Amino acid sequence: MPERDEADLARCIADVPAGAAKEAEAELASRLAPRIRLYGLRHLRQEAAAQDLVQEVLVITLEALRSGRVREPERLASFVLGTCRMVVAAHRRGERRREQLLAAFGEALAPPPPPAPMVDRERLVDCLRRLSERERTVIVETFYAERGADEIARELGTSAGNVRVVRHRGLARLQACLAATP
Amino acid sequence: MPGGDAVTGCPAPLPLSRAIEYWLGELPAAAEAELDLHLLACADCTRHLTWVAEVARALPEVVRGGRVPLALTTALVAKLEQDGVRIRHHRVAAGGAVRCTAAPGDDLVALWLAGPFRTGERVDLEYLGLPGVPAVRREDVPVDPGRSELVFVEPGDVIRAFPAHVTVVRAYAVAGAGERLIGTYTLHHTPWSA
Repeated sequence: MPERDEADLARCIADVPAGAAKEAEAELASRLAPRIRLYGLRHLRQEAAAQDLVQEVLVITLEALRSGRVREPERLASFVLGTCRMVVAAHRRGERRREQLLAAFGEALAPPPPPAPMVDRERLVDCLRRLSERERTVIVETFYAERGADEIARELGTSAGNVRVVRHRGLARLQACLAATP
Repeated sequence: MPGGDAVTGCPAPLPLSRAIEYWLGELPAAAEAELDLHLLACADCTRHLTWVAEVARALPEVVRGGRVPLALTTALVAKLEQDGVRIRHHRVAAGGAVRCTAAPGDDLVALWLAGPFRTGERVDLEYLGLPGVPAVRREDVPVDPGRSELVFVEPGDVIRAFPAHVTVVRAYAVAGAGERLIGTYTLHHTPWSA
């Protein structure tokens, strides 16, 4: 049987009485959760806040599907994005979480377990040592000091374009090294 | 993904360079919003970006743990110390010598080399006399252009493992096929004694 896409799952949830499509809801939640988490990490920069975002956005999305408020299921990603933005804005304003809605959806929305590390730390150390001095410095400045290309360029007396080239080349080499069999 | 930019199964694969710019907030607002939407619809690109996010999470751990040798800017040295990383500093001018060691609690050992470094020139460091190691050359070591010194940190574990010895470090400015000696620095290492 061909795998259902997210729009199919959304229609399945919307077309039956509220809560009757638990399997589809769980499937949709498991697909969307890592994407929402990543959005949260990107925009909130905290794992705990990203996990909260996952729960809140899934609650709102499933509740909207159940009540027929998502008019175009094929554009579900747009709805999820709008919801992410709304919740992130609320998070920044310090609004309280929607505890009662979370309780209403129960264990289908239990927080996903923290993702297992994709990057082995020992291997990362080994691969970092294999980079050129400049690549290593630029990557550490980028991800440890959280400095942008312009700022790193000023500190190293070079251009932002050059920093981006070094950064990209270094990360590509790091990715290849981490993916290679030790 | 290994070694390349391609992501299979996605009609508009996210190149690594763009994933990095997105993660670092360097894209224009419209491009960022477009990518936000694409990522929420695309499991393949989500996996690709998750690798960048994971490196962003793991890298500070290994840096704070003093696990990698690094050329640093003075700002980054200050940040490491603010974050609780214990750094032992040794400073030496061109033509000079310094006694150096690493204490049990040192995460990193920083060597500050002063000399006539010029903005824009490539600097190589050559290490002679490291125990059990042939001459080591570190190429294109970044230099903070606002200062006439270079700072390089080594993991404390690496330095602590050395017996007493003398290492000579030579700094070269490299241009084309030629090179100019910037300075020679002599390091008299002894193991820590309380």
